[in-house]
Amino acid sequence: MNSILTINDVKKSFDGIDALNGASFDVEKGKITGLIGPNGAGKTTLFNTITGFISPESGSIKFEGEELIGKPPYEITRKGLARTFQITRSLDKMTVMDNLLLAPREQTGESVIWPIITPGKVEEEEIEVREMAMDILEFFNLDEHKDEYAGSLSGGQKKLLELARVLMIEPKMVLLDEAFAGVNPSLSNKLVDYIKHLRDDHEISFLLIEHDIPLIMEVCEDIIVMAKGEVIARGKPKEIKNNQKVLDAYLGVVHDE
Amino acid sequence: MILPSLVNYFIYIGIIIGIYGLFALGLNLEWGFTGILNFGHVAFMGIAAYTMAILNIAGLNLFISIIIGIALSIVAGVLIGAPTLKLRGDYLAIVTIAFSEIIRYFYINEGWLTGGAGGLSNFNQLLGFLPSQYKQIGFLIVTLALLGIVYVFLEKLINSPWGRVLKSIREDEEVSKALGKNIYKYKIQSLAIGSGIAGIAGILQAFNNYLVLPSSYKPLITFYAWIIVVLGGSANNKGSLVGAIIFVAFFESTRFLPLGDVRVGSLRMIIIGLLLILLMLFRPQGILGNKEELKLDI
Repeated sequence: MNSILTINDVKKSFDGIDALNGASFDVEKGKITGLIGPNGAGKTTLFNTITGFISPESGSIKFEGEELIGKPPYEITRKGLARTFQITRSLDKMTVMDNLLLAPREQTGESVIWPIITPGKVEEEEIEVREMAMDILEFFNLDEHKDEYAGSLSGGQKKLLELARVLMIEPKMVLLDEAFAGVNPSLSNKLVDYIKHLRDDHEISFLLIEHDIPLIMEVCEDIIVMAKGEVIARGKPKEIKNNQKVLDAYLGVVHDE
Repeated sequence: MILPSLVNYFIYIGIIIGIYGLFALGLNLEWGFTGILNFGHVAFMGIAAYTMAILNIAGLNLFISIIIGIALSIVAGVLIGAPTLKLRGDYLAIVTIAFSEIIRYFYINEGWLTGGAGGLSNFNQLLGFLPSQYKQIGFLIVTLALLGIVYVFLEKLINSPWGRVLKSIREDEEVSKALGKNIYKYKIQSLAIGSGIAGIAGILQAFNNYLVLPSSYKPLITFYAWIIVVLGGSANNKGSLVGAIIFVAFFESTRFLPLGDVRVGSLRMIIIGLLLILLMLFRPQGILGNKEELKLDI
């Protein structure tokens, strides 16, 4: 298996409560992998750990063979590992276009001196980035809204904007935290199509946290189930569906070990 | 000879507007565009002014003293920002206001260096070479020129990708981080530039008063800048200038009320308070602020 992300024995506790209790798994390159589990299983904590927002007590997280633990979020993103948030976070008082223009890695104009010293070069880069942003906005049918404030978009459009913004990073892998929560069925189908398209045409790997089990069974080729900070099962959707451990975890059955 | 003195008075007002305009532009970069809650802005004004005065009195060339003064206010911005900009906004506000008071007490108590409560006045004039009748107008031109340069510089930066990152930090730091931005670095840069601009304002003020005094750097002055920024509309450089004009005009126009200094001072604060309440009720976005942006907060 050609894995892009390898998580090994990651532990994290908050005030004595173990949020991650030795979680280990790897994510295959070019696949759409689902991460499910009951509330409090540690899924979002794991996302935050992978992306550098919290640092674990122990363990190892490797992205394309490179250790991520100890690196700040911005460095991890720059390696091509991008994320979205559980609650949609748009930059409300910036335009839709500016939301997208912000995302690309390594922009000359983002240093404090170059916009003053070489405005021409910065402008050239802006034109390029703007073209890319227009393409992505058209792809998501957001191009009409490009000059509107992100805060004025509907909830569904904000979901699309968040995904569009992440694509501007030109990521190799995207972590989606409940991208389908509170999304109406037609938009959720659209999101699924987008994700599949991005995987097929841009070879982006996805890891998604999701509560909508039927949906995740349909989208993901590979599913990882977490409970109480550990991975309890892994497999193809069919296998997971019939796994007694998974059913127990969701129903709260306790086994004596 | 009422006319020349009236002209001189308006020149004087123009200079004050320029100084406050600069001072507010620095704060607007920090608060309006980056969301940094700096309650110690006046400290950086004082650091530049005192440094310039001390070095020049010690015999250093005036121009070099000015440059070192401004540089030191930038360095102070970095030094204060480095340990504190990781703090949440309200903590930062407390640390910065405490810093500005510590600095002021230093001026009062370290008299061997700073002249104590009486301040320093023996430094050279900026335009000492000009004939005396042109000094005021010359100083106005210098002030407005600096204001213009800083304004254009800030507009350029704000509308660049760099400015875009600042705005994203103001909107949501977590998103900015997740999009690969080293937000800590940007906040320090913003505070450093804002402090440098405060330093320029401080040096102009010192030349205008022929004096640097600890009492010129009270926290109240920081809040004047806040009033100007809020009045004109946060995140709008033009707004900061309009705010400075209105603020100074109001301040000066109440000067002639026949009530005596103490009463006028209190009355001013009462009126400013009322005006701010009215502003928040009827035009919360400030004079040039964008109402559409404000709606998004709800």
